[in-house]
Amino acid sequence: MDARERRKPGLWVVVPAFNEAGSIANVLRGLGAHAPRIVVVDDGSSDRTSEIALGMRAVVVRHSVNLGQGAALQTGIDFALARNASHICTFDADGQHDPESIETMLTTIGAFGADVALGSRFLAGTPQMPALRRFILRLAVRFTRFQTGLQLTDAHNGLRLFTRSAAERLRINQAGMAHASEILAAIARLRLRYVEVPTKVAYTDYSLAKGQRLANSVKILFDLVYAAWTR
Amino acid sequence: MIGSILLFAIIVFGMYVASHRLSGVQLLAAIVLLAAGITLVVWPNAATYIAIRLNVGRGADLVTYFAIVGGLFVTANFYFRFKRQEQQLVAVVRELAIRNARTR
Repeated sequence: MDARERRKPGLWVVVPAFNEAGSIANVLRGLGAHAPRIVVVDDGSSDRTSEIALGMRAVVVRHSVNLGQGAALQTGIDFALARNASHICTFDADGQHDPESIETMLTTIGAFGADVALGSRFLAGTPQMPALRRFILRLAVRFTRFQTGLQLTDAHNGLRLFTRSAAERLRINQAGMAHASEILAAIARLRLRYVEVPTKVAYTDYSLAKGQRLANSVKILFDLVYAAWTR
Repeated sequence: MIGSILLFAIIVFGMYVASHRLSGVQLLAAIVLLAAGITLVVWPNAATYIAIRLNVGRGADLVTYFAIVGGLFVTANFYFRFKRQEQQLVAVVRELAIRNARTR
């Protein structure tokens, strides 16, 4: 066990990745100093995502077919729980998150005795965020407040930290992108204690291209209505 | 002529259905559908007779309405089944993935 493992016993970082060969190496390199244990969930990529991640000494768990980011996250969480994780962090593979935020989230979760820490792009201010994206995300925040009653400033941030007990109780059934809202709804339903942590997000051309399209928000809404109806 | 063709089609449908294992609800629906089909072929005026009593007026309209509602149920049924199978697929792929976790 090296120094950083002693500082963070039981922290696992889950990185869901679908065709991220272009960015995964940088993301894992950045994570290296902050996360002793990383599992990359390759969601059926057709590129070299898995090979690159293996080369960066991450554990690779590979879906044989593409299932969606929600399914990939749950797979990673299941894997981390099986490896006795005490904390589980979800971290996007496109390079938009700052690995230093993990430190902040761990400290905050400990200080507040919280179950979940959620990254927020709006607490810190993300000046380079495109205006249209800002508008849509604000709408998503309103929707989340309405749907769950959670008073959050950001709704669909891929950076989260769960304690083991929170991760055990959480179950992501939304295979697609509606999982972000599903996680928040679960936090409300399970009455988990949550804190928001300001995080910087780097909007690069790459992460913007890989990010959600506007039309997808309609699909997310549909998935959620469907889930509410069939629950 | 058209009557016997329709009857033949309905009987073939009935035999096809009977050759598959059906749940109670599905079997009931198939029997009702078969009975309704045969009735309408043998007594074409039956639809009009019921339609007048239900204030729909024309028998053809009544049959159309029922067909639309039936179609919606079938579509929903397929959709839910698809969703269920998607969940099963996720479970299988996840288990395989975790079992075959790799490190270098």
